[in-house]
Amino acid sequence: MSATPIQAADTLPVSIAGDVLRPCIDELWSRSQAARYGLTCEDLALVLHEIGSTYHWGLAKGAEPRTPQQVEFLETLKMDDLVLARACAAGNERAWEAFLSQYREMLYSAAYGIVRQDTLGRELADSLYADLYGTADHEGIRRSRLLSYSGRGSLPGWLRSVLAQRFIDHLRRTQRQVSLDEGQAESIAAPATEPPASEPDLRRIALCVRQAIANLEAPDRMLLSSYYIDGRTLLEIARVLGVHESTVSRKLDRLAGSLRKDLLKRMERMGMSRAEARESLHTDVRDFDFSLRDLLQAGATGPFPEEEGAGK
Amino acid sequence: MKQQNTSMLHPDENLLTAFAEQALTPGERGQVLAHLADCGRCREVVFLAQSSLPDVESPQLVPVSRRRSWRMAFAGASAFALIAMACTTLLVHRHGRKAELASPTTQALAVSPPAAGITAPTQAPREAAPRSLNPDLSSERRPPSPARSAARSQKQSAQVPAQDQRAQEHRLQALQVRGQQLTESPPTPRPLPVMPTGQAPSPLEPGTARSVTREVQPAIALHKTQAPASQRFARVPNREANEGLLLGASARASAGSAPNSLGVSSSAMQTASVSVDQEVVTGQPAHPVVFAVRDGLIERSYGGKPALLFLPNRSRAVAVASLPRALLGLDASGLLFRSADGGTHWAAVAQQWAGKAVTLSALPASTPHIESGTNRLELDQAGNAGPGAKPADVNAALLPGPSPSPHEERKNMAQPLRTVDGQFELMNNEGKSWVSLDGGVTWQPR
Repeated sequence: MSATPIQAADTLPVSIAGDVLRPCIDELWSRSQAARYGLTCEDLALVLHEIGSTYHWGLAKGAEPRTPQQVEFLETLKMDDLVLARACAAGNERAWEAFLSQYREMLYSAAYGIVRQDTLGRELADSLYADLYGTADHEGIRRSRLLSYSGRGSLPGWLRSVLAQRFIDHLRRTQRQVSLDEGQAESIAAPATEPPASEPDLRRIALCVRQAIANLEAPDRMLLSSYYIDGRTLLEIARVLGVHESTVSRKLDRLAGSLRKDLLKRMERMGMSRAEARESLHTDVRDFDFSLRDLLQAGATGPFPEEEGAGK
Repeated sequence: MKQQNTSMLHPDENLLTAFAEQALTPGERGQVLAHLADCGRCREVVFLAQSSLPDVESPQLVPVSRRRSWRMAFAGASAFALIAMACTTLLVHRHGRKAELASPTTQALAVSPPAAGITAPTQAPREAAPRSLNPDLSSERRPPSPARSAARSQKQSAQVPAQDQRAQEHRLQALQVRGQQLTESPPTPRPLPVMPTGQAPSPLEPGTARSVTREVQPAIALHKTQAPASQRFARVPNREANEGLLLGASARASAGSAPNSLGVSSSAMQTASVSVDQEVVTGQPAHPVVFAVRDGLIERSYGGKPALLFLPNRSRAVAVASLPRALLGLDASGLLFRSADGGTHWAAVAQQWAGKAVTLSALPASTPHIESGTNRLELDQAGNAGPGAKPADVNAALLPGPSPSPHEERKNMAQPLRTVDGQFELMNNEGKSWVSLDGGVTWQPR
């Protein structure tokens, strides 16, 4: 996927004469009522071509896009939202009125929903709103954050994602407080019910765990990470994956079962007996020298680059 | 995608949003999923963004003032009854015709005993005339002629044992009775309740949003059930959005509309449609929500059905207070918690008072209002703008300056709306009180 940011239409190089996608773009333009916001068909064509090339028309890198695939890609874009966002970025007053009436309150309620605090939520929404309106760069050109909206997802969803990113940045900048529960859990030592496994056994078990987890498919690792590491509920995971809650529950059960079986097999292959392997599954995880969190996710958790304005 | 370092590419917010909305191609989805499996940060973004959506798992507690009125429920039941009667009438018509056509057969069976030497049944003459342009089911599916039916039945009855024949006759008689019942005309529907007579509503000025008087409400309720889908407004979860509807409806209200038979001008109905939604949302509750403390837990009773709520960390609750927009719970150690969704989610309130909080109370506002900075707009109990409020008044109240331009409007976003519908009061162990006017978020000494 390309890392090129979406640029303002007026900075794009150029004319797309003889564009085979023009009929499709014409239809999208008329359907979206872009004319109401002063967006010409040519403007829209430039924008759509830029988005298409940024995301490689939804295809794998290296694949040559054919016209039907390009048309299909364009049909998936949220055209009304895209037109509104671009018109707002261009400073169209009517577009701003429409944006305010549709999304002003939604921004605040989404910010509150993410932050769960009135004051901070309001600050977050206000700061995003200012970026959406746009700030002038060193050349005096106003760049709106809305230029980076590509129409792949809905505009409200995009606004929520941006708010979420800002909130996470805010948390990382300020000191995160460890909750009382976590602190207590870390400080309380579990009573030893049985003697810890010997060093060689621990190393074997750790190796099997690493191999078993590395053998997992990405969707499975994502599921396990979300549930066990991030502490997400079944409903939250279901909502993100677009499946029913019970499907997530069944998948997790199956995963846990298959992971357990895989671990047992690997440990037996390393010379442990079935009974020993089963016993080792009860080993206290704190005896291991690895972190399951690190195993499940390769993880860069560093902050995203600071946003300097628009078009990132 | 954003590039954080040479080895890691984070999907941008467009891709993360499209992923959560299942709008990616299969290839893209696989790539994003693979990244999310490894990147806790991007997972956090996706889940947080989704978490800001309304929670579908826990039922949303509707504040007391937004309960559907009994009048709306009655109107809904009336509409359902009308539809049911219409269906019954149709069924009666169809069954009635069948019963009429079937009855000669049953009568023949009941009266004429099986007789020998019965003549061969005459064939019913086939229709020589062309089919009617108005297809009539009876003509297309005409049952066999009575003589033929009787002959067939007699033949059949001659073959049936006597005991079974009596049972058959009983069944046929029951069918006959039922057929006669179905041919009876349906009962006259009960008349709709008479509208209470009161002062005739005055026609509204164009673009006026006004509250609905109680006398007009039943008419509006009836109108709402008969309103086409395009006139129905989606229920909104918060008052600020309701205000948006008010503004929108005010802009759409037409001028000088003549009153209809219900005595309400169509502009009023159009505006009142919004007000009805307001009324539905903020009207008298059929089942008020009651909170109380029971054995250290908060009990929430809705429609007679109690549910127990826990404060965070399962701490013991000693006091609870609620207003339409916030619920506060006080635990035994003096910690205060706030919930904006009826107790499903709680957040700790930072202590802004001295000593230890020991009691909590709520005082609903006598005049609920919206304020923004120094501007204030009174609301009635239904959450509507005061009588005679014009869009200009509303704009003036909500936004600084008369009719601000969109440019000014954007700059004033730093002063968002705040709805004040009451105050909470808290007392500490020394008898000193603090009040909160913003639903328990900030506190000032009394």
